Amino acid sequence: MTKGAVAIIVCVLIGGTLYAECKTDACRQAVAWKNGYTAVVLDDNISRADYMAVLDLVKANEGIVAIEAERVLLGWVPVATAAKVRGARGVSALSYQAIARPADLVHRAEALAALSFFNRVTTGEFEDAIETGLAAKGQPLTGCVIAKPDSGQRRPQGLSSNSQRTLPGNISPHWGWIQTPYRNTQMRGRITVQLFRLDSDGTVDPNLYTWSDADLSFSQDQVYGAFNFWVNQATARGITLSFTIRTLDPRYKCCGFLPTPTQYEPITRSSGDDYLWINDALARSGYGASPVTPDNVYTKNEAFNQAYAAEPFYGPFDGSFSVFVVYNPGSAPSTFANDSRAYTRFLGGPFTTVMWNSGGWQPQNLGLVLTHETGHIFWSCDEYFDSEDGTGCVTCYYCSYNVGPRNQVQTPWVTNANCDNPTSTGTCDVPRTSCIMRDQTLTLCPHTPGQIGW
Amino acid sequence: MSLLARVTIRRLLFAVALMPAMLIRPAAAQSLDLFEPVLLPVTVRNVPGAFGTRWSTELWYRNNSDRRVVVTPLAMSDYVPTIKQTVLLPVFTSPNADPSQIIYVERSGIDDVQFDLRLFNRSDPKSKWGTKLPVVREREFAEAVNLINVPTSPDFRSTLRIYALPDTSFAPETVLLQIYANDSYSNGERLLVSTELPFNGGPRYAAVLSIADVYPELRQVERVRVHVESTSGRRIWAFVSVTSNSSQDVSVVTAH
Repeated sequence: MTKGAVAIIVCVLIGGTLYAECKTDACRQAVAWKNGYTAVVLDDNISRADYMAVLDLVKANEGIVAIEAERVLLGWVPVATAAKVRGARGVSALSYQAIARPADLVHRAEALAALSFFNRVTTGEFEDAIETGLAAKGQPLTGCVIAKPDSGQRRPQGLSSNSQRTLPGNISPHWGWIQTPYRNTQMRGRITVQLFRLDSDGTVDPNLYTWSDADLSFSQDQVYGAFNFWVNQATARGITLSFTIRTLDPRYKCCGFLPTPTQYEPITRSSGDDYLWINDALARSGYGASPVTPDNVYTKNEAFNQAYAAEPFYGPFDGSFSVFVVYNPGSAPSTFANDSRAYTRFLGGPFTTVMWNSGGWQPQNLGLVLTHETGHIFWSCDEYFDSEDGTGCVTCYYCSYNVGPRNQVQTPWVTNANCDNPTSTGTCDVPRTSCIMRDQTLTLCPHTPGQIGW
Repeated sequence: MSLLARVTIRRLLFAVALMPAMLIRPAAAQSLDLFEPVLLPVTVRNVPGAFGTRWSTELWYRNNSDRRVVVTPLAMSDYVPTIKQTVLLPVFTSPNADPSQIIYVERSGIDDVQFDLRLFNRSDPKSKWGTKLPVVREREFAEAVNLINVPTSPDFRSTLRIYALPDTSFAPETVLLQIYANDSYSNGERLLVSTELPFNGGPRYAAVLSIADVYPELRQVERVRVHVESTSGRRIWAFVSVTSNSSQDVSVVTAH
């Protein structure tokens, strides 16, 4: 019996039918990617060369790597070629079914979390969450309404009494963000995603909400699940795409996570204060800003992303961005103090913010919200139009006129013809179609692919 | 009833039936009713210029009303600027030959908002509190633009920039550029340059960098009047930036 076959047998089915499978077509469509979902487990001491060789081998054998999580690769490997992948140097297991004792196979927190996610996918537990999420509809993911004044008003540099700048009244221009060259210009290749789950430590703001272990684990599943949609869509178009998740929360004992501490309770503040808690998170990795201003923090975040994109073992990567998850369980507000919900700052990065419960979408849709926001990171535009607030897309003619990586005169013109604005200019699609950027359904309209460089 | 009378009555009934349809405005004609296009002539970030200059712009914004006003597109997703506070708008910057961009502002609120588009020389940020650039509303576009009192001295570099509002047409197009001598002590004007200028830097953008270098005949006079006219009836807008070659200070010449 081959080494591969033994390992596949070792990975026994657990859980039986404890969890229900999808009851609705919508749910089945949302988790269509689970068919043939495969976990490839790598040796703890695998070399970089062998790691890269495994990635190449999976691809060469008509497999797809969707998620890289330290020593676990999640994706799809055809049964016919599974033994070949399993036999590669550095591969310790390959499984299509839940793995009974993940901790026996992997010892790194990210890998363990990925295997736990894999188990919940294969047992149907993840589908339960998706099914519940499909029944929840929150406020629009787009067209965020800011009805209250920002508490985090941007203060012009140099005018404050404790300014570190030299001349009173001499204000330097902001030039730290929305820098060219544009980042994350296309959703292709290998993308690294730096994940932080934020938790107030009570230093500045009262600590009102504290992550539970179960919610941390649940949110991790949602993050992993968010990216399978994009990989599935890319694969259908013959495009290679994978996401490497780097959870940068503090490690707990051998192989768990604690949330990232911040001095602030984010959900009680304006989203305009985001640079404060982002700085707390980045400072732990040596990317704290001084002075702590929005410009400086966003610039540091970009540098941090670039560092991870060039990381020597897993890199280089073709794209990089950060994800900050704000915790607002139970009766906590589902929006920031300025009514802002999940958002991406800025198109192209460096980061996106999602909540445990973004605008009432509930934690079961955390991944769905992140899927939508990931589109923005790669320059897709909203197709939504909120007539009540007059927010969303403006025209079917283009996504952004002559700015961004596309819609320049030198590049192919990309329309936004699925824009739901009834007074759109340009030729609009009739009828409009469902799309992750329009109505948060897990499908793509014909225009979003062009916007993200497909 | 005669045949003529029956035809007349039928025509009258048909006309009456058509009247409601005529009163209803076709949806297709309501182009961007909710939003007004606003031109930001220059939005750049750290772009190198002559004599070691590096240029950046900022767009500051204030909504003085009690209701939010949508401005789009912005580089931050899902964002509507707040009210009654002065904020730095996260607009895109333009790395290409065309430094401009169009943003859209909710028509119902546009009169309540203020913009301050400011150009800085990053290589010497403390020399000046930037130069205020126009933020151009739709109504300011016209078929012809006159820019008077444009210097031609070698002490300055005067750059002409011409813009048209975007549409779905990519047909090649030109503008008529005429430059007249505008001497201090002469009552008349002399035509020095007359040429057709293609939109060469973007879909709806053309520029003549340092016009006196491109048209040396302008050096014979101290200042000129620049006349730009659309050849297709499309509405355009233009301005000249005048940059000192010694201080790199920027002045702006606009029609109004």
